[in-house]
Amino acid sequence: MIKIFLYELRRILTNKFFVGLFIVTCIYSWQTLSGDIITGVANTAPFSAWSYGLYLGKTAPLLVITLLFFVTFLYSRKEKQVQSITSTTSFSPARYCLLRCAAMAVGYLLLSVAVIGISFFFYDWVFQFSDFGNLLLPILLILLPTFVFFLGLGMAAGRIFPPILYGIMLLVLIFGQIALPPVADLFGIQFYQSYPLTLPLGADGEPAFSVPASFWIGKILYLAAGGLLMFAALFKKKRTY
Amino acid sequence: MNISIQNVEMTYSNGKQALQGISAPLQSPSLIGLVGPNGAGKSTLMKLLVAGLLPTKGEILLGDSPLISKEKELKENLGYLPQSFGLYDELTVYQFLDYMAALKGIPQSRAAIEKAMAETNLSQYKRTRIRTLSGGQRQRVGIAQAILGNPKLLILDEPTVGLDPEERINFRNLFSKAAQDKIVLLSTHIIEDVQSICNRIIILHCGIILFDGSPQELILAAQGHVGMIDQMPAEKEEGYHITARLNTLKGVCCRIVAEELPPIAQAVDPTLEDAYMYLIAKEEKK
Repeated sequence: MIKIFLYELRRILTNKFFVGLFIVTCIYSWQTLSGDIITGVANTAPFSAWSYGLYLGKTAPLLVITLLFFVTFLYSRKEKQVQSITSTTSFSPARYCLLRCAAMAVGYLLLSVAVIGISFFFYDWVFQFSDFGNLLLPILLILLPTFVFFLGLGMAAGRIFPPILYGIMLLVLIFGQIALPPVADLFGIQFYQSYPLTLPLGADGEPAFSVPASFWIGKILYLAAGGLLMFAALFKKKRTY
Repeated sequence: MNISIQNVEMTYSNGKQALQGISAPLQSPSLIGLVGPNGAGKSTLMKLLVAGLLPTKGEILLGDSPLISKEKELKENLGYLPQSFGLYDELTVYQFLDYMAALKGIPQSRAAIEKAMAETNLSQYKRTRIRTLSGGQRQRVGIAQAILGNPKLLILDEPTVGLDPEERINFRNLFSKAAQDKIVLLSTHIIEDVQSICNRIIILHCGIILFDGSPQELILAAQGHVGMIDQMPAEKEEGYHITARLNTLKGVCCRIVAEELPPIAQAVDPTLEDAYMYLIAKEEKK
């Protein structure tokens, strides 16, 4: 099982799309930090959790597009042809699919680590800021629901009609630009820019990082929807056509 | 291993009936050649046998139980080469076979992979990326993954397509050797492949079994229906099927199959190909 996982991971990490998107994401991350984030968000410090949330929200669409590219590998014509061989082995199809999802998760994680690593280096280099503990919550609030939701959506869409995946990639880019209520704002781009302005200032002159219940509920709903879609995609209908 | 195909019918959702109530027992050891024109239902039958499709009617038994309830057992003992397949181009030959060995749960995979590569003459391409292989070499990788781990049931759909004549002979010998202790089901258009190695032939035509028996029995059925004649004008070809035009010292001669040979024809011993042509022509005439 480990062997299959490692081969899948190797196939993902050595793919030219992944390498290309990795480089683009790293460059975009640096530009976002030195452009939008360096002045801080909603009158908070550039290294506040609010600013950091915006930074992750802005880079998340690229992470999602990379993830959706991984998902296209599962449903491509070439993959279907390989499946004509792999599906006749005794290895459980659901377990096989889960292993491949795990490899995609590691690919997504590595890209996320690069995005986070660049930001930590930027903060340390520009602001000599290294107290990264308070940035953990925005990391979890953005990266985890985004991964689960789009993996589930991508897998379900890929099973129905693989070209839809490219449409979703386009929607992801649009999704990041439109103003949405906190419950629906998956990337939180609008939320991190506007919500801190409504909060009272703390002793350090900045609003404390606390998100409203509607924002939490939204994230939980996205997680649940992603999980359900993933389950539906894993449950394979059998073979009469 | 014992597989029983019982009155199996297969109709696709577009209404195309691929198989019409076919029955056949498959027991090891045997090397069975599945022959028939395009669209006869060969690939559909193979997909049913590897549990890639469910029959619309009838059933396939593995031992005494329905195949579907023993799918895991079937797949643990199965080596399958589909007619059209893909490989992971970014992996090397060894890595792909290692990947397949992991999926098949083969213990001591290294030895099994080395053996499969040696048998398919791929050892020298062990570290070659699949994307750089020729069509014939890719076909050999397909065969290597099928024979990996010495499965008890080997189902090969057009395995010799794209192979050069020498490789075809090598593979015929390999399949023949493999069939000594297992079921090898081989679908092909190349009658020569079947003639030289199969101990049983199943001829499928329009989803029904036209013939199920030994190559000798098939040849015997065509005895007296194959002859040689001098080439005749096209309008006189009705009722005959010309299987070959041969350049001889006397000029061009034709080898024909017919239900009733014309008086000018000189009867000759049928080959397996003649017998096959005779059977198909007879069926099409109906």
